[in-house]
Amino acid sequence: MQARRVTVWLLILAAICLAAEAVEFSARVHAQRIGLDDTLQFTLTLSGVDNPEPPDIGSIRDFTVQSRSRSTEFRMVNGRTSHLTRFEFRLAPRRTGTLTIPALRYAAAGRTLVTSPIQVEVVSGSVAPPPRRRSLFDDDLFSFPRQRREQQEPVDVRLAVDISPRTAVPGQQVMVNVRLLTRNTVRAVNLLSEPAISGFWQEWFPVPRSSAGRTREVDGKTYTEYDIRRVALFPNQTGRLNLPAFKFEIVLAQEGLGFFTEPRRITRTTEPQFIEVSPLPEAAAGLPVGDFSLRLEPFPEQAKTHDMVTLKLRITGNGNMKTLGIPEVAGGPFFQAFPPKVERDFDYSGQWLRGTVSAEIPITFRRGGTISLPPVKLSWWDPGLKRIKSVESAPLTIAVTETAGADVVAPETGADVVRRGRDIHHIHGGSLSDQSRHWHHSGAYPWLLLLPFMVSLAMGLYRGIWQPLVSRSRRLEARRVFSRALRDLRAVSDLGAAAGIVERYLNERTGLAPSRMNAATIARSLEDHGVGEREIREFLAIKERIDSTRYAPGSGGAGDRETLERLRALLRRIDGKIA
Amino acid sequence: MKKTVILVLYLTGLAAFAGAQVQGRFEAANRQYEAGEYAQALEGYAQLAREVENWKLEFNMGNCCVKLERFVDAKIHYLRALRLAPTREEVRSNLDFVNERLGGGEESRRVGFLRNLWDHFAAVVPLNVISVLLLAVVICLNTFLVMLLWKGRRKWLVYGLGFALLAALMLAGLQGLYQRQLDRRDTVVVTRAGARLRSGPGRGHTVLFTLRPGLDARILEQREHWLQVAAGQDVAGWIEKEAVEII
Repeated sequence: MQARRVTVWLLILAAICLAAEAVEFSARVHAQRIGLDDTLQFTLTLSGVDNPEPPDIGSIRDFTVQSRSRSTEFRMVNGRTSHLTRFEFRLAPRRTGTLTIPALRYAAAGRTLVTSPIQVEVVSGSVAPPPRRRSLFDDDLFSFPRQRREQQEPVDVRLAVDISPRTAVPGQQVMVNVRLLTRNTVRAVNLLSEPAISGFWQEWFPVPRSSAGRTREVDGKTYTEYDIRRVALFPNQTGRLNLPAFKFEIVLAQEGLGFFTEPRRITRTTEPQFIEVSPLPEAAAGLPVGDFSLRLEPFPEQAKTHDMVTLKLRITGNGNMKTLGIPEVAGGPFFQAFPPKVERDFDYSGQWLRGTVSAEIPITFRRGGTISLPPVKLSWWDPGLKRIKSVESAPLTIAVTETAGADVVAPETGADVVRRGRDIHHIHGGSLSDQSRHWHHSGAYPWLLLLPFMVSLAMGLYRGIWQPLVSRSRRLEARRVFSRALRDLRAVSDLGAAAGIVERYLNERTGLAPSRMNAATIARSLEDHGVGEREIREFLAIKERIDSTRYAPGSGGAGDRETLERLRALLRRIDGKIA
Repeated sequence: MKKTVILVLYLTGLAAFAGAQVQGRFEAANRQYEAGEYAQALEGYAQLAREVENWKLEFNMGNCCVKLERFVDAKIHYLRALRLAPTREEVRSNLDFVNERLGGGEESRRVGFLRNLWDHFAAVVPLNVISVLLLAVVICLNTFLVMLLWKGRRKWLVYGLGFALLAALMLAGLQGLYQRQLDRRDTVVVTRAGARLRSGPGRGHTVLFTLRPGLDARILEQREHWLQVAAGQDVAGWIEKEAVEII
């Protein structure tokens, strides 16, 4: 029994190994107990399916779907991608009590995946936790002038978004400034969720730790104005690009209450915005966009061959400095330019994001003489002037003194390298096998692997299921005994050899012990089992003949075969009658 | 029976003849290379490469390209040869030579200790040997299973079954690793002059860099006609598939 159980487990394990699937579907809720006034966050996670259809949640009867959203996660491990899609639902309970989210089904990759049912206890009222207290780690903290305390009530707080410019080209800086206008005392401002801004390269300005604010008149009222978030966007797509809403939590001070009073929290959301991005002219494709200046540090006037001198250049501007390429200094026959060391800095103090890119390009000289480096050139698209602008340095000239061991030969062709003793390794000859032929790719290989498992499975089923079934069923057991007797009789040609087969058959079918077998007991037993008199007589005659030839094997010849045939026919007739 | 034997003999003879043909053409191309007829040799190797995949072919084609001063093509062939035979020092050395000629001055990608160990193991024990061993172990495993069913639980049978199962899992893992290495086509070489690396998969996206031909980069993601690639630690972006050759 133990061996059989081990076998079944091993077979299951082998089957799992052979058919590994990565598709998974699961469900979870954010809480097991909620109030009737609360909402339940229900998440369905589907992994291993690319761009799946939303699952059907129509079978959820006890809840109303208030909102739904979807997010996708891509993972890449060792060059392999996997997808994880989350479908999030906000469910409002319809009644109190223990409500059930039933098992949900999803058909994917030829399989039907099923989640487990989830039970949620719903009580009256709300069990949602109280609003979170202000943390020391909150982003913003504004101090408020004392002289404005008398204007704290009622709440008058609004947000405004400035975008400059509203039309741009790819790569151009677009400044977005979110302003807070308030007539109340503000203690903190928190950005509740980082908006997903797509289609832009983003550079967020550092969050101010404190701000004095400015006074501004709006509709005849005096507000205090703060810049609460600033971001420089660089479009990388064309068309109408959307800027989603920013949602903020604003913490207001309560007037005239003690230090430990819970502050009042309100939320404000900006309006969604858009920016029109038109394509760059064809001639400006690939050029940086903005306004730049290029400056070269003084270059040494003298050097020696194989000395390393550094060409330092500095580009300042308001374009996307993180993607700005360094002007190329192409090596020549007389000098070699190495990859530059680049540093990028940003200046967030101004109205616009400005930055500086500093590059140090190491250069060595291959031969002596007066060597001129080509001028360094930078071109860009100026969106203000709507034309390509360029700056170019003067050619750099340096007197190079030749030192011993200098290489005076100009860069060589491939063949010249041979003369310098630096040739490539020679071609390979020998036998040529096909490295793309792999046996495990042949169609027969998986079947060869599977075949032993199938044999084991068949054996396991035979031993574990068929044999116990046969031993428990009298009918099947009788059938087995009869079939075996016929098979054994077919296999023998000598009548004497049939004696044992007949005795075993009689013993197993009628329960008559071999030691008690004689004509009288056999006749009585067969009669008891309902066999007719004529068949009993015929059987006893054959049995007698078998017994007489038992101790003289090979004496029967053709007669034996005929008798055996008769015996088989007789067994077919009487077997059905033995109860 | 006689017909089957004749058919088997005929097919074997046909395969041997085809093999001899390939070998003869390979040697002919080698002779052309020795005679300095690099273009003809390259053509001969290229025709063979359409029928047979072998690192020697890619290596020799790389050599022809070097001699013809087609260094970008040479780099592509050397990288392919290195994928098929990662432990061959001569391939690595020639690749370094080509990199130097292409002006980058970079060395061919050096690998870590474990990767190096794996490459050497793969060179000694080919994938087909692993496949045969796996088949043998699976047969042993199932023989133990069947014996366990018939003979009942015996100590030596249980131990044998455990060892066979472990061996089968190990060999299956090895086969998976080999296959992953075969499937890994994660390197590209820039072939088009002035190829542009953009911030997104489309011509409307900002140009980040202009790449020189011969630069090799690692594929991060594929999307229709665009590849997201990374060259070194700092440079990453999207490039059109037509501008590169995937190794």
